Amino acid sequence: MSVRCWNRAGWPVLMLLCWLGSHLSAHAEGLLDQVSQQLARHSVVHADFVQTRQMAALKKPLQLSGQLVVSRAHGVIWRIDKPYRLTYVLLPKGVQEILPDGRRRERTAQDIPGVGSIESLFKGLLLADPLVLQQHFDVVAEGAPTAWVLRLTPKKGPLQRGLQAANMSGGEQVAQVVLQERSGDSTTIQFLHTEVRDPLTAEEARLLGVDG
Amino acid sequence: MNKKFVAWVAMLLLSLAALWPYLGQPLPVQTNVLAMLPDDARQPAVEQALAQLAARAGERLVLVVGHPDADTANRLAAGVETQLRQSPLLKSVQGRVQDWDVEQLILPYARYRPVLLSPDDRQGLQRQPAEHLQYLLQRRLGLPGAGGFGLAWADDPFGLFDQVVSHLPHAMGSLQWQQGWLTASRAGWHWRLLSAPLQGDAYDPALQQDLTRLVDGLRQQAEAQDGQLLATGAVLFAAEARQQAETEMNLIGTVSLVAVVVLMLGVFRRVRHLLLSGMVIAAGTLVAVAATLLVYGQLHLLTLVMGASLIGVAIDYSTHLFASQLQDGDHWDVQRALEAIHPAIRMGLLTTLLGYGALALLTFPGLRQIAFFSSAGLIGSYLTVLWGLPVFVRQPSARSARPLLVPVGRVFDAYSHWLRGRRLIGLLLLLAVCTLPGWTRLQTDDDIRQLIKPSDDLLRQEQQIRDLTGQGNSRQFFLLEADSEAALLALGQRLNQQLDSLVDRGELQGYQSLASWVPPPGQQRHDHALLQQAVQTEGQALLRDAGVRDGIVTHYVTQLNQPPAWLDVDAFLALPLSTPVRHLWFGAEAGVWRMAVVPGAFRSLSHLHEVAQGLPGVTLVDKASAVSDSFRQFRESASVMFALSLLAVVVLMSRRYGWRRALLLAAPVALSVLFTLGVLGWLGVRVNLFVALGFLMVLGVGVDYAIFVEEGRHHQRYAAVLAVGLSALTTLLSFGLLAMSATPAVRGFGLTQLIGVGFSVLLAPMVLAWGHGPKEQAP
Repeated sequence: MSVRCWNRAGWPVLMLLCWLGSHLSAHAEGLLDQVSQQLARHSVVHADFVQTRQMAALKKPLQLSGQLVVSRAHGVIWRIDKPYRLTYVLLPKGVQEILPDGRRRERTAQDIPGVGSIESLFKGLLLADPLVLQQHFDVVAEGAPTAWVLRLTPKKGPLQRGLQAANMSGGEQVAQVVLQERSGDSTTIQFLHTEVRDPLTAEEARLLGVDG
Repeated sequence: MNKKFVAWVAMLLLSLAALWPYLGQPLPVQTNVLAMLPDDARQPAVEQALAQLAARAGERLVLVVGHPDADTANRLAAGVETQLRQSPLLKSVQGRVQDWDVEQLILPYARYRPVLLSPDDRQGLQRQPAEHLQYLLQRRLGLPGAGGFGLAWADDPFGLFDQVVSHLPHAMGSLQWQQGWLTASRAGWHWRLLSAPLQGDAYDPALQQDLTRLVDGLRQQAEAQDGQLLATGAVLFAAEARQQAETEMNLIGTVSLVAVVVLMLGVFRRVRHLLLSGMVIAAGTLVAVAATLLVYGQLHLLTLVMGASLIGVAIDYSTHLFASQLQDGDHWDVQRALEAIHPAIRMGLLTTLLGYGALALLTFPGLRQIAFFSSAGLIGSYLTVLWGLPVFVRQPSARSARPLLVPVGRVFDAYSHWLRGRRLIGLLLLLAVCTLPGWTRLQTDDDIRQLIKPSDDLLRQEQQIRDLTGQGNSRQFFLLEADSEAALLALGQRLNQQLDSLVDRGELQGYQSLASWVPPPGQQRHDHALLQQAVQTEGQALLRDAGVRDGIVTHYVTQLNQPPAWLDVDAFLALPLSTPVRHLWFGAEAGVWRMAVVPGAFRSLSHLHEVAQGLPGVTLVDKASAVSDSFRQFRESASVMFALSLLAVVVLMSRRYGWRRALLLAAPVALSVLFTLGVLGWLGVRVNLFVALGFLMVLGVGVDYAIFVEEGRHHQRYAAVLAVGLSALTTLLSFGLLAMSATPAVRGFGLTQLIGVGFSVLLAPMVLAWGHGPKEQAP
């Protein structure tokens, strides 16, 4: 069940790590606090992403691109634009999948056992809680707040089954995430044009289920 | 007389001999209430199913450990788990799960994936195979992570098996896996779930005691660290019921005994009489326990509780003898006295037996045992008075005691004199007016909760655990029947669909059914063909376009074209995955295939009833309401029984007193019953089977008073009066104490007795209002 949850939760975890990575450096407590305080000012972050997936089963790597919106108070939107449309909305109560034809598919906690741990991870991260990150990973941080690398190794738990290691790097914002899977496949995500943009647009608010 | 004494001693020795094998052990008391309840004779299959399910549920202890801090919760839970593992009371402990466990569980099931499809995928592949497969593939490729459950990505590129597993019923409900523990989070607290099957019977008294102590110890440890421990399991309920009954029994027994001691000493002024009364009770109880154990092998809890009130009745016979001794003064002759009062106490015994005997006619094992126990005890006491006592009461009574007789007698005379003619009618009318309107307020309540009433604390813990874990009870379940395995699975699938809609509406939190794991053969064939078709025509191309290696595509298609492994119930039951649902399969018997479906926590039973009614072959089994139904039926039978007993008593009495007198003697009791019903109505006591039983007892005991008074007309009036007075007092005390029980059923029984016997005593002297005047006798 953990690998399945990893499948479904893969992107959400990713997003959360990105969001977190852009704001936290987990090695030194002082640094962590600094960054999380710095973060507290921003409630909405936008970024473009390019994701490259290298799989043994594929002849050549698969590339996806899209947009990411992170709202500290309400949730996360992960929208794949190319080569196909697929949107994921992460909310505290669960994950929503929006298909190309507009249909929504709920993936609540009941539907995906093990998501619970991802949910608390999500919430903890959303609350900028460094402890939550450390709860799920062994963290090794290198560098300085302006140019850092986080090496994350999952602790014993549902994440560990699929994921071998994760590396995050960036400066003021996160630049790149690399996920190494146990099967040998890897996924690299690069973030471009990261902006801090308060408040949410009407469209984003609707997706996140926020009342105007 | 010597022969009789010897016979009596022999009886006692026989009883002791019968008890010999049980000495040194705790008394074999049956605390399983289900054991005393009537079987559902109409459906033996239901009984068997229930027994199997109850056995599995009853033999498990469930613990939930919580703390606001997750790490501390883990630590506490780990500590609890260690101690549980060390305990010899538990067979194994399900606590923290190693991650690989889950994978190993699912992998063997994955072998059948060519024939399994989730409902969403079935629909998608039927309507728009190309679009649906494309969506699945995109999602699969887009998300990092290999195939689930040890499957290589290449073995399931579309992720169909993932979908199948995610649609499987989750009896876990709101539970999640966190760091190896089954967890629920609520209101800032982290709860960890542990469960352990018992090493032994949940109704074994020794196990109950030790386990309760263990759980209490664990709870204290958790609370010492600001955590909480909740526990539930049939064993805890049974232990509590047992302890409650024992406490009550001790209380009732002790108070009765003390009251009897005080009365006996106060009235008869000799310790000897007290000891002899004790001997009568002890002998009666000894015979009762021995006989019951001989015949039944065990005593039921309820028998003990009801039997404890036997004390009050058993003492009546010896009291009569002592009262007679008091009246005879220095002209005391045991044999002559015995001959004189023998008819009275024999009649008393027979009428009481007729009252208890009615219980034996009901097909209610628990009541039958009570009837047997009480009858044996009374006969034992009776024989003790007749054969055992005479040796010990050869001397006349204490002089100091005699003066009591005359005042008592005078009061009685005055009262019975007053209670005649117009004043009698007036009193009866007054009582009628005061009590009969209470009839309008009478309500029945046959619910089984009248009999089995766990403490609020245990109920609260059970409820909390159910809230946190979403696991329901096994008291209600669906029984499915069909004439073949395929038909049974198809029926199961239809039921699942109905239950799914209840889950969607929030009425039901989930369910456990084999049909969720094993689709009917027809469905499997359909799904396999559908999958083959979809992959052959559309899937292959999609995979190639996405850039999947040719070797992998060919491998997958070839795999699908092989004849698949079909999943049948036997194959599934052999998988370790089936452990939580194995007990639901009953297999075939006499050509009928059966299985059970257990609902999780639900809001309203009526929805489940509707579902069952809409599907032929599906029955909702609800032991509690079935028993409540039985209770109602027995209550109605008991009412008829009462009328018959009354009739029998009148017939019995008419043999000695003639018809008219017999009817008159029965009048006080009959009137008492009417008035008592009224008072019960005013008090708000619900009428149920146990109140009806109480009335049967009132009949048996109450009519004794009229008989004693009647007999007293001809011989030793004052002695008879004293005997009646003392009898009434001791009976009121012992039954009246039952009115303080925590169990509503027993309380109702006690109140009925208290009021019924009270009225019987009050009205007994009215038999003197008619017929020849009492012969004057020198006191």
